[in-house]
Amino acid sequence: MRKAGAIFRKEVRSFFYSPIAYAVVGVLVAITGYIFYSALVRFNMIKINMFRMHDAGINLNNVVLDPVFYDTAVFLLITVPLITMRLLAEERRLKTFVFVFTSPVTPAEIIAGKYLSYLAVLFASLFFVFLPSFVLVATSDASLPPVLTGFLGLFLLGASFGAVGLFISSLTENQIVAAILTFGVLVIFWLIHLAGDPTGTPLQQVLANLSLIEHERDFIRGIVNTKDLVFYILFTAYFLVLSYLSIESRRWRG
Amino acid sequence: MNRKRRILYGANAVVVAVVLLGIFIAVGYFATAYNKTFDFTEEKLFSLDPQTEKFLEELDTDVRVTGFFQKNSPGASRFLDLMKLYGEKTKRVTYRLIDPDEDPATAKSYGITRYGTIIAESGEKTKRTFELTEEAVTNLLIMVTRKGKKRVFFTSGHGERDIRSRDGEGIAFVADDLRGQGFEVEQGNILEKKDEWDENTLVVIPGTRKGFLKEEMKVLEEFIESGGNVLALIDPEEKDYFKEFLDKYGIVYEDGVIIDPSSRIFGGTPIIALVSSYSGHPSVRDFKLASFLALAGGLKTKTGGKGTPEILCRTGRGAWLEKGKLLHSVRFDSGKDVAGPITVAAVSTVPVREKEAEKASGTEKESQEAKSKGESNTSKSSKKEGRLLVVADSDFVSNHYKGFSGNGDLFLNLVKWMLSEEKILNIKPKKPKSSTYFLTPTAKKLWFAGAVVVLPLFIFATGLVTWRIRRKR
Repeated sequence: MRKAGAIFRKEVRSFFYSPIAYAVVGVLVAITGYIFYSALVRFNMIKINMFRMHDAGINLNNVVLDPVFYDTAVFLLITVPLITMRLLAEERRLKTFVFVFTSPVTPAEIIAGKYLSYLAVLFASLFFVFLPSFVLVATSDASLPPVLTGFLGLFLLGASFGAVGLFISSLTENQIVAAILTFGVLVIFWLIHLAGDPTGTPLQQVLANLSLIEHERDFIRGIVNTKDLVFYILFTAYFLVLSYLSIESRRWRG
Repeated sequence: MNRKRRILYGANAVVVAVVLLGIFIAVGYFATAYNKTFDFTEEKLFSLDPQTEKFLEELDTDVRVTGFFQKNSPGASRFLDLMKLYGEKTKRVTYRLIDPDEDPATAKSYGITRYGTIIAESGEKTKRTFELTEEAVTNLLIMVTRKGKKRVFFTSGHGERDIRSRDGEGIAFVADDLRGQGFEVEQGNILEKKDEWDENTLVVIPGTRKGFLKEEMKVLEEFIESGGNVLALIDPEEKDYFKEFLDKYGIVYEDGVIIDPSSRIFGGTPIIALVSSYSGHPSVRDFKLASFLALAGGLKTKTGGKGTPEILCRTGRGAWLEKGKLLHSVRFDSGKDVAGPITVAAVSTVPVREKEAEKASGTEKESQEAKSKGESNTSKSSKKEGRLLVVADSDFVSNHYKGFSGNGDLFLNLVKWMLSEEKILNIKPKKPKSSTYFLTPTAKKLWFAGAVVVLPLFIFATGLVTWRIRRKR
């Protein structure tokens, strides 16, 4: 695993030396920050209008934070392909895979190093996105546990997105193509529940359960269900295995 | 590498991918079937009430719940969210969603006329509700799995309020509520229907304008003393018809009408009594809402009768029982009127007569035999007492007053207790805690500066500095 660690460090360094990563994360934080601020102002308006209804059940978690987390999920759908597009496509473009294949590094170590570096970037991005929420919890009566479950849910969602991005990045040497294809695949897994029915036939149930966003809803509302955790872990693991098979195939395809 | 070997490797990779997909789907299936939910919201907003959980744990029959909602509507999503909680708790409850637009044949077979209908089926029983709350769904499950039928019989023929009438004086609304809770509701003549009554029947006298015949009073007495239930809603003007009857069971209906100045606070007139003091009796112990009784009378309890009387609810101290005529301005006259609190509802429990007890134990024996034969018959309750509950007013259940504060709920609670139907649950909907946070103009500016300007700028600036340092190197 030391080799994977070395790849991880190299990848993290190259992420944080690259202006693109800062631009992507900065724009994500700016947009979610504005949504957060707008939701806060809207909350204040509602509170003023419902001044007499002390027990109307209007609180910061459901009016401000939940919508921000949903919107963050949407923006991850757009930003993650921009982050993952270079992970393996760049190696292919620069023809550096040949050095990798002739070195004692295994495909599993390459995948582990690159994917963990992506998770580090994802964690840092979400930390900045969630910073205003944490400050709000510290300075108001907003509840912390749903914020933490929201963070966990978005991290798992981002991790699943990243696994898809890594796999698609291994298929092409063109980063733009990788980003567009990743976005397309993610949108399919985002909307696939529309073709399913959670109470319908077994196939419809499978389709309804394959939706990435449907498993996110409970996390955002403050619920952790073991089936959602298992879904994200399996989804991520499967695309990492596909990435492994894809790299491995380059060895014998030459 | 030769072509044959490449095909072999390629096929191998595809097989690995497909097999793994199958394994992952199987694991996902089991994870979905045997999942556990942890609700981290402060008010446990997405968890079932402990009463529902207890009921589901004891549920021993299969129930299928069908929600008729438009697909992807907020109602459909709420229905699935709610039913998911039931499905996670027990495998006995299964559910499905049907969009009447996509599957009109099924909708028609269930007689669906509007979106939002929820139907529960268990064996041959079918019940429906239009309310999408935990309380409604749990009670639907209770009703559809309940063995035996509970019946509420309203008397008629003496100028009683009509269960079919939807005008202000009628009581169609409470009759609807009772049906909604799964009770059979009927109105008829005492002498004609008395043979159909049993322990699972509650006879309600919904205010009268005339007295009952001697034979009718006798039927009521015999019914109570054989373990039956009578709920009498009697207005002060008609109290004389029932004075003797009530006296026998230790309940005294006093002369006069309650005057309660405190109801003015709620926009009422003093002839409306505000009742917010409930005793520890099981029928009202957990009742928290105020009730409003118009032109109500006052009751007293006494010992020495056939039953053991108990007070259920009273007015506040500010009310009094006005003995004189009701004029434009009434005042408390300490020499004549009765000072509050005034009792407005009382119950008398009457031990079942020996002969009737024998009959009842015979019924129990039969019931046990039936059970051993596999015929469940829990509808025969094991209580060995008759119940006479008196409310000194009938207006509070009328269509006009039923919706006032707790009036309708009070009546339902009394009916449920009279029929030993404590199993029908009152589950208050959970609401998120209201936030007290207010955004001051300064805080607003600070939030904008921090979340929209400073934080992103910090990231952009860090990126710029890092990039420039890298370029210089």
